[in-house]
Amino acid sequence: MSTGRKPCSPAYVLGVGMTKFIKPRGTVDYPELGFEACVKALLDASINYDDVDQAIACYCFGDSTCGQRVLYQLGMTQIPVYNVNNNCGSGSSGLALAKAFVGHGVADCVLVVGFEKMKAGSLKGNWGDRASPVEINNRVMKDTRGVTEAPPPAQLFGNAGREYIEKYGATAEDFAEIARINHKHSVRNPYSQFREEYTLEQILCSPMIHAPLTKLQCCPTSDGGAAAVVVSQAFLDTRPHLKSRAILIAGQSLATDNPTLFSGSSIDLIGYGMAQHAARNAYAEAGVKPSDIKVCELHDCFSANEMCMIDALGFSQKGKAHEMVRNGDITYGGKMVINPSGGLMSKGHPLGATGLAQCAELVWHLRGWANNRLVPGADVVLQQNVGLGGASVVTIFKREDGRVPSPVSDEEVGRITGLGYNPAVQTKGFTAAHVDKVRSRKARSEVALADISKKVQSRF
Amino acid sequence: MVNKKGTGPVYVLGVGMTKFIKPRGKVDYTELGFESGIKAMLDAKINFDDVDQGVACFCYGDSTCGQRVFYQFGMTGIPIYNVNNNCSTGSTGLYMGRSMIAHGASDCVLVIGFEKMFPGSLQTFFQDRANPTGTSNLMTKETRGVTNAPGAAQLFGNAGREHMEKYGSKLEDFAEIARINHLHSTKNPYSQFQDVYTLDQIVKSTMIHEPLTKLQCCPTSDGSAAAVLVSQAFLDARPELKDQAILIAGQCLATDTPDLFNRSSIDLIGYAMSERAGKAALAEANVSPDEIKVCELHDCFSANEMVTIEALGLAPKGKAHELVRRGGITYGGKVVINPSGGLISKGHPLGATGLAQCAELVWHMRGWANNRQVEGTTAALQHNLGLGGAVVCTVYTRPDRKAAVTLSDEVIGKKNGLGYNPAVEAKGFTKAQCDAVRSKKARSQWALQDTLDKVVARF
Repeated sequence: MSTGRKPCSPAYVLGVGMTKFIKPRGTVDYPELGFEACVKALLDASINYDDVDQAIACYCFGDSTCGQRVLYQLGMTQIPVYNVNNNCGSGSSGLALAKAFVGHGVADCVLVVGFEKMKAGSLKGNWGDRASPVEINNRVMKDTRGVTEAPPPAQLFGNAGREYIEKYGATAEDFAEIARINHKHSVRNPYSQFREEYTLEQILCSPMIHAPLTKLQCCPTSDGGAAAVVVSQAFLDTRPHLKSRAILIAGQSLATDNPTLFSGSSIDLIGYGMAQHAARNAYAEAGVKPSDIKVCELHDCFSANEMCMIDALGFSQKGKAHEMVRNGDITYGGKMVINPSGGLMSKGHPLGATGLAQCAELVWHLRGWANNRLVPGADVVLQQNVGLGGASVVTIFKREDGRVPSPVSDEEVGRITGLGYNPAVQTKGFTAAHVDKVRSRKARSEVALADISKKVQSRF
Repeated sequence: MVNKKGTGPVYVLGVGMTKFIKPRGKVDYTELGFESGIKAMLDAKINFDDVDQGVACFCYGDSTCGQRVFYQFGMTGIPIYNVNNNCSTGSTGLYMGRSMIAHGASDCVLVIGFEKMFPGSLQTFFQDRANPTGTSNLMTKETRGVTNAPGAAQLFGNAGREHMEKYGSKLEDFAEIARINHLHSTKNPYSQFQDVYTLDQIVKSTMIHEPLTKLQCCPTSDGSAAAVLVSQAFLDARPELKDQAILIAGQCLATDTPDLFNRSSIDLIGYAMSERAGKAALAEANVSPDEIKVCELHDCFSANEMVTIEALGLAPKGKAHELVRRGGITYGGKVVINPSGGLISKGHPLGATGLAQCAELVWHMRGWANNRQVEGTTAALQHNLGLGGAVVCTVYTRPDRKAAVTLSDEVIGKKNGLGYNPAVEAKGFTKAQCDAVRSKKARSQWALQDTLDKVVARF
């Protein structure tokens, strides 16, 4: 059958921005989180909200149209706005939608903002009176390994860890090492919720949640926001001075589960199949192999998922992810660096924001701006973001010129952006003048903005 | 950016819906979504393996309810998005699917909207954070004050009041809109209610927020509706289905302007969004408002129908009530609005409504709605509104732009291979029929659980 499908044109991430991820204390609401992330991304892209022709809001917890509440603060320009979600993969689902739109000519400039205001404690469903989307997943878990009192996600991922131990000979220390590395990486990420270093011993001895997962191997809940501006070639061509900032989405795929999800294997049950599927598609589109990937932001909600994903994404041979960990090949000095940002585990995990925070980190690497944590020779980078239920999104980025990034000094970044500082290594705020610059000129609304800008600025 | 170069036509190839029912908590979304998805795929004569993207439209439920529904058909790994835009959630899904296909990102998108609701009026569920429509509620407070009536009824009731103040419409005019929609619903087998009321009965039903009496307010409902959208190439490979493919000739999703907050109660319910979306969709379709003979319009409350008639250009501004008075919005008049019975009588499961409107209009454009057909219909208009907000307007035509020709139930039952006409009869399907549409390459009995049994048992 002939198809109406057309090849995808280039789509670039032109601007990124994020808030610090913080412990959910209920003191900062989502309009502020989303506003801060959007203003930063628009500033970073050197555009005005009037340049945006579609917007996508990514969040799980909140009534419908929270996206509009956030975006109307920037302008009420009548552009299409979508509210999308895919559990923990919401942020990169929004990114995938934006890339599909831009790459296929639906839009030239899409603003994607992810935000989440969470409750303390582990993830719970909010709707007890109807089928949980993952209850049939949990039943497979019950039928295979039983259930305990531990939070269900910790059980699911912990069980995957157990299977990796049983099948391939990984040890509890290997999982703890992943966490040790991610916590260590986070020290250099100013946006990270936690920035503590731990010894392997400390990680192993933290309270056991569900073997092999101890507390320090589990990501926290967090409040936060992150945003990205995705643009077309045509949009970029009219702004040649911004080309050095533009990062190409070289390959991307959003895959949902296949029937192996329910095979009875605990590794399959955490979405190994869809991660492999998405990775295959993304590598093919980008024309690269797993060994080309030098930096990876990967969904370490629990150390066990990182172990399984190293495998699923083909970084290691099947069943040998733990050997890669032992060889030091997932951190500086090794084959690649995984989660230079500190990962979900240390940086935090506001569901809607995470996928876009991964994007921001990788963009800063490819621009050479993450100069305190750059990885030499990293010209091809990858992010993997997953939501049980589910969806797995793999995205591969390269520079627009395809080159290996060189470090750019803070002074230079401050000069290029006109912001006077380097957002990759320092979290700073913005001024009222900055806000004025990016808010819509033709359709702004003070009623929509209320006092949010003031609140956000006062917290800086 | 509408009308981008290089876009291809997008057709609605199949539609399906459940009966809309009072929310008693007895039927879960897994069943609702399954039923409408199967019906739409049967109608389109496709298999789930033909679908390359899925869009799930719902407001109430944890994330990935969409996958829970879709996996029952198959687990083929295709991208699935969960989207929402309050009451315009269903048509937001349509808009997304159409965008994907028109620009060559997809050949076949299955869009399923479903909602399992609570009795009583709409509530916010997350009380510990800003209400997305909080800024609108504040505006209500500042302009007309707030009462104990349900929030939505106040917002739309106030718009009605402003129309009366500005343009001289009367209580009876709003009631007449409801009378007409209730009357229309008797011909719609999917409608939650199918009762006829006199004008007097409507005027005298419980006052909720003037001018809105109870019978002028839509109920909450459980239900689902689905559509299969396809590209030209997909359709060309199935020439036997060309007759039933209805073209999305024009479509626009518009969000609010700053006028939302200009203190007018009519603007506060998204008038500017409706105006912009309607204009743009009609322009893209190259159709004037006068050419529209059938319209499915967002009558969550009669007052919204009143002002939207004007926003869509079906009547001059300030004169909608005159059109209503002279019988202009029902059979024998200028345009039949809400032949399905509208939200007021048919029901309003948030995620499903936009897709139910689509199903109704597709049946009209195919000539299948033979008990409620409007002669000479060359173009139909759909309007779906969600406060917060977003409005989607869609214009449907036959691909050859000719008028729909009414077909008999016998002809239809033979054509579709189902033995009946789903536009006039709400029937079920058999397990064998399900088997034909569920994925051949990646089905999962575990994902299906006992949904099929439950759904078939209820038929």
